[in-house]
Amino acid sequence: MFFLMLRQSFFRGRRRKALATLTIVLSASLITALMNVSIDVGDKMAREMKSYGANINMVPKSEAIPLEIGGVDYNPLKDRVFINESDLPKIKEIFWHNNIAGFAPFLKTTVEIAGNAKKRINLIGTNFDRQIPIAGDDEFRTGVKVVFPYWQVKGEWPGDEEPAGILAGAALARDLGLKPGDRLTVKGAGDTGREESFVVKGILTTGGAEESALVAPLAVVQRLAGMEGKVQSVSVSALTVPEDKLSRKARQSNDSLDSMEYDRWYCTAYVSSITHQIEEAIPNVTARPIWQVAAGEGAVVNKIQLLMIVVTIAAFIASGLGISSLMATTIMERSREIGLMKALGAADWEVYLLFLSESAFVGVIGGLLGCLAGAGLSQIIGLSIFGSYVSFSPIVVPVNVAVSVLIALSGSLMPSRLITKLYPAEVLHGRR
Amino acid sequence: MLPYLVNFINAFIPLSLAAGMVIALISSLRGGKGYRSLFVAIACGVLAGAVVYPVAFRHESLTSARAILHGAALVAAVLNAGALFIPAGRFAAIGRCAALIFMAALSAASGFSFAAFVAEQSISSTAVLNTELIVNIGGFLAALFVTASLIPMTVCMGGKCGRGTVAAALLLVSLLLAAQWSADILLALMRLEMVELTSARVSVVAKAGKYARLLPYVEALVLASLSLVFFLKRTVIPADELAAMDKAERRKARSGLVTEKRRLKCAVASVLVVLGILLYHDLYASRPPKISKPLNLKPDSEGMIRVKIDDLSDGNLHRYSHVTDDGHVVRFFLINRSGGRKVGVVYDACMLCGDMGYIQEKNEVICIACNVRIFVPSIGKAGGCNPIPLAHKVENGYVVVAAEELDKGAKYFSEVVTVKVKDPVSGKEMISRDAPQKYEFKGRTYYFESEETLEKFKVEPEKFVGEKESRYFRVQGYQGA
Repeated sequence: MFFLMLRQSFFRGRRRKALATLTIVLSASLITALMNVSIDVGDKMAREMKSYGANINMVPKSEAIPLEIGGVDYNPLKDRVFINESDLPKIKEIFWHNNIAGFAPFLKTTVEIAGNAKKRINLIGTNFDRQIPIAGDDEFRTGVKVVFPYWQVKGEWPGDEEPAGILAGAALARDLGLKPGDRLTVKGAGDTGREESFVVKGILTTGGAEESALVAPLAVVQRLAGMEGKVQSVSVSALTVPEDKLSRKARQSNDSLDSMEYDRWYCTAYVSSITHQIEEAIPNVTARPIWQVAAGEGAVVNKIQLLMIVVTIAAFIASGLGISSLMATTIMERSREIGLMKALGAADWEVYLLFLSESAFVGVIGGLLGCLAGAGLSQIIGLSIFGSYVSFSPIVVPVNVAVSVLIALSGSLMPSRLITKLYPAEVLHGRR
Repeated sequence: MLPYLVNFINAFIPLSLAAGMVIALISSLRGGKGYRSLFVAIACGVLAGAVVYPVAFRHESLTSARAILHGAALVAAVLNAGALFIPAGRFAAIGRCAALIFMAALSAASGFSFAAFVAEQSISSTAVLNTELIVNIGGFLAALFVTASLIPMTVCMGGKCGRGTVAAALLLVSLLLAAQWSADILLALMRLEMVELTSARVSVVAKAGKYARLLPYVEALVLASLSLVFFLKRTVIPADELAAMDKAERRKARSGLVTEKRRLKCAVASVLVVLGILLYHDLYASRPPKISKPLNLKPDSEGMIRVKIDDLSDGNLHRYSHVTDDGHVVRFFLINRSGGRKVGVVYDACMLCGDMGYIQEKNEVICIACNVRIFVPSIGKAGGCNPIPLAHKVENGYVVVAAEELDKGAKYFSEVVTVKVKDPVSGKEMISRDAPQKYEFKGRTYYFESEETLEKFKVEPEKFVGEKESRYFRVQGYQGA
């Protein structure tokens, strides 16, 4: 009986219902768009935290002292303190040494290309795929090929032992018109810098700063820069377990752990315990995990979240008010019907239920349509802020429908109090 | 989502049942008015429990806070149970008071246990809004809805069952809760070193802990049995009586029947939903991953186990087992650890985590106990959470493992099967399970037909079993490499 009445009453007053749906669609699409952008980034961050691998960046301790004022680095020790290359095998001697998949040292220096004295470019020295002697393992090979599997080379990788092979970053190669097989002579910075000549073996695409630099075997760059046996930073790739409560607690401060928790933390392959062990093994270095999403998009998304909360509240109030006035008119218009229902023995709550479920239904339809509109809107936001499309998260749909229903219900709640004030006899006589 | 759903139901199902039954009892006395104070008591109790947890956590007094809450609840339960025996109609105020206190104490205990669960979990891995966070909140809300809807169900069912049945059901639920709480208090007292630790007490606590998992099921069944009583006591109006009624009265009577039927259906459905969720979680979703079944290998006449290297070229984890003379099942696995023909030969046990074993998921090998991904090229080397290396040889395309070597690793594994054994002294054959005497020597278990042979053995064991190296202890795992 109830559903029969609901169905019949639903097709009445269609214009007003269309208007109410439109109100909800507008607010729902705004909420969907912002929520979708925020959830997309949030999911990426969660995935990063839960992943089973991480990259760790290791730099000399003094390098990690933040002395940046107004975007300029004032650290007097910057680029003056180095890590000894001979210390690196110690990374494979920590407790979790089997979880270290590889590491790649870096040394950066500025060079001039011979015959083009104005142009100063970065020359990065690293290992490509080099065998490193480790105690108990005579076949451990590591380098950027292991640590950064997504680095792509057009042409071929140079060998670590041949001093003349070099990779040119894609952007640099475009600027200078380099292609694999070209010869290149570079000169170390300063007047006394020595000269080396190279053969470009391949063009490197990484998506990072290496694209506008030359990448050469480490030993060559050390010789060129006059810093034999030194490296500036090391990227370590480790297999880890996802972050959880204990690791977050440890991240805040090692001292907050009691001895049992400390043991458990130390003996679990969290990225934080691995970095801690690296710092223990090699003197005077700082190791930090690199959370790529958290550092990049994560910073913007906090603002979006705040915006989302404000917009949600505003949309909630605005469309709630709109629905409220629409509902009041409906009830006044259908007062005779309500009077008749009451005269036939309907309790107040049954009449309430009829009207409220009607508006809840409007809320569901509005919410679904709003999701469609909001999905499009979120692409525009994504393109303008992050410069990329935003994938649609399915979880937005139920949340948004729930919010829309809430808007519709809370809007209808106030006017539907009128129902109690209608007396059958008066209404049916037309006195009210 | 599911952990939040299930733990909320586990924590609050006794509360919603007890609340429903108390309301049913009160309304049978006072005609359905005045349970606002009851809901206020529940709300205050839950809030108090949820607040006590973080405070106690900060002051590192969780055990005592838990014990005090449970002690208070225990006293309240006893008071309430006593009040139930007061005849209806007399001293109704005392009964109401006892019920209020019981509700408040019970909700505090429930709130505390759920707060403890929430604090141990992380509801989301980042502060930014994400799917996981929303789904977890969804699970919480769903559980809130399910447990809250149990209250009116219980009131409906209980209202028709009569005071005696409801009181009996309430007593049963209180008794179950009280048993659990007392065990908990006992455990706390032992932890705080206020009573002496004895094996009898520990076994009581352990048994209570084991059966506490069944409590939510029992409580759901209490509601089910109330519904059964409801069904037995349902209103039945004979057809001729119905025909004799006025039109209006007949409609009313029919409508009453329909309503009753709907309520019963709702109650049965919600019991089924709760049971379904709990069973799904306990029997399926919360089970840890299992290792694949190992292939049992028998050593050849030289006491060697041979595995062809070509069989391993698929890069998968190949798990084998070997049963030692005294029935220990020793598992080991072989894996092609780098593209070539290099093979990692290891025991299926970790020096840190024990013998839960390793599983392969796609290209990753995972230690089940601690969920660490093992770097496949490093399998066969000692350290970290790597499997314990197993001494072996490679001979013309075969990996050769000595059964003697596997026997030495038997102590890494806890699984023991029944085998045919020989008395080393008399040479009599028997089934290991039925052997009257056994004795451990150098990590190996020997079985004896009588005390006499055992004594002989104890005097000079080497004479009977020869000079063998003793088995490794788990801490020696890395020396085997």
